[in-house]
Amino acid sequence: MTVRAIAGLLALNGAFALLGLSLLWSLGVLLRWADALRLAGVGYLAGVASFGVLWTQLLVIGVPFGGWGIVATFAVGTAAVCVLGLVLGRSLPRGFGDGRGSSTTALLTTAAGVALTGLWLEALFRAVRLQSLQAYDGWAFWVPKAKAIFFFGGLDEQVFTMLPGPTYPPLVPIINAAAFHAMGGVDTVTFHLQYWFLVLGAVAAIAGLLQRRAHPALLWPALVLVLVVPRFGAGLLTPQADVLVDVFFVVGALLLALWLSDGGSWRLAAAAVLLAGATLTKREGLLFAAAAIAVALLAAALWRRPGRRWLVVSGLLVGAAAVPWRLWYRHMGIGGEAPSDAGLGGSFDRLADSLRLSFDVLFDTGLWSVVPLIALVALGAALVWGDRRLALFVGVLLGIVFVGGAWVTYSFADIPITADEAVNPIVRYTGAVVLLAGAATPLLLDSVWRGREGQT
Amino acid sequence: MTRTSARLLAAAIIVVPLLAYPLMAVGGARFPSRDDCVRLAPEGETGALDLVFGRRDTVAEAERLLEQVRGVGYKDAELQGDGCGRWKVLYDGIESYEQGASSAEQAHGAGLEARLELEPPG
Repeated sequence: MTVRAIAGLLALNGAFALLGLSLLWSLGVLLRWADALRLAGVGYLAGVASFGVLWTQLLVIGVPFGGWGIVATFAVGTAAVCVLGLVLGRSLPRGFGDGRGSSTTALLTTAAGVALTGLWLEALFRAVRLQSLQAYDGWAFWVPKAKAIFFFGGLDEQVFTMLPGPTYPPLVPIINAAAFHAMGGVDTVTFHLQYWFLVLGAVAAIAGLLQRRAHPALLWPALVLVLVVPRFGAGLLTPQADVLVDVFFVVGALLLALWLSDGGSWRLAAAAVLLAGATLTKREGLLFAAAAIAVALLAAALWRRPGRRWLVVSGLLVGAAAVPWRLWYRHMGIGGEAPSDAGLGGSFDRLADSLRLSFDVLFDTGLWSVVPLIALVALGAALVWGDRRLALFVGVLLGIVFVGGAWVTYSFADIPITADEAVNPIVRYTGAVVLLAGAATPLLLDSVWRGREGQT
Repeated sequence: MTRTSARLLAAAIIVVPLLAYPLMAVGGARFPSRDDCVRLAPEGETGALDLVFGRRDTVAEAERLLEQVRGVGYKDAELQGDGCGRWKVLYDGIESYEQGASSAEQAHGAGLEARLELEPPG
């Protein structure tokens, strides 16, 4: 029973990776097989996001969701991007090595990092394969919504309007419903493994993106540190949308940071797919995506980076992807996602308390260990000795997202000033800040290591 | 160290712990099987009991079995998920092991494969 379900999940997630890697190939980034291996995580996340974004639109217009529909989506989607690649003149990747010899120290450091991360993932697999459904949000609405899509084949009006969180976007329930189909039934124990695959994809994506941009001695310790912080350990496999929205946002933001550095146009396309996914994963995904694109636009304008219009186009596409779901719930008579007065009616005391709470949560070592502190030091060092442009992009984006968390507490008057997750989402929200800070730390430190001559 | 030996060492650093850890973890939680949802009642059991007439993979198959069981005379027999992905047909009006054993024997006489099981918790 469980082995069959696991095999189904393996096939589903392999299909996500194949779809996303085909997309990357059509964008012309997979020149060698080593590139496919290095960017497998980015491809996987792009596959998850594009599948989720596409099916959100399809469900809104009433297309039924079912097993054959899932198979057809993968078949038609993968074939379509492959045809696009052929039209654009892409050829199959050639050879394995990338011809960039790395030092023995770098090779062995990478091996040690991969081994440690692999052991951690193995331990996580053992913990999750028999996990029960306990998290409140998971059993109260995320999983029931997925069951509704699985059993009724669409956005059942009663389920989606009467359960808690009716404005929460449906991407995660869609992925979960696809997992139920892949497993052959609503196995709410084994389906936790779907979240293990998402974590695996996120780790592979961040490591793969930074592998050529940060020395392994900086990349792997930072990555392992992020993985083992107490809060991530406790929340990674909870069947909610918090981790996925953070991952889409952080990998999208890293792609934008690297685009600002090297101008690789494929990075914009991949970032657009991931940020569109973020807008349909959780409500704050809209804020994250808007902040990432706005800061990238500002940076590109300041530094006169060519290709800014494509960034604008990407931003418009991300916004367009987010609209139909909002129209659907508005049509169903559900109120908006933001506070009615945008929080302008609160007191100064509440504002100060909200900011203080956000600071307390961010620097709570019981939640995030020393990740924010190290990131802050790396940010300061990069501003002084390293790549100031990168540091400014990361710093401003972190600042906006951090202030966004304080604004959430401040503007929703019914949210008490407390870190208690049952009544205030600030701890879950701050995960995005910490993950971005932790993922950017190797890049920032590497720029310090190489010095300013390494700036692009 | 030559390039080839460095690559071999790197491969060993990755592969050895990743293979060793699952081997060392033998004795941990095993994969559950369908049989984990079948708990036959030991003789003389005094807890709550069910007379189970069989399990089927689909609701349709289980409904056919239910019809057959009711046709024999177990009018209050019912259909339930067994918690391991199958559907079982059962009669839950058993009040003692002796009564259940006698009912199971009568069911066998009518061509049904009935077994006395412990009622699942909850």
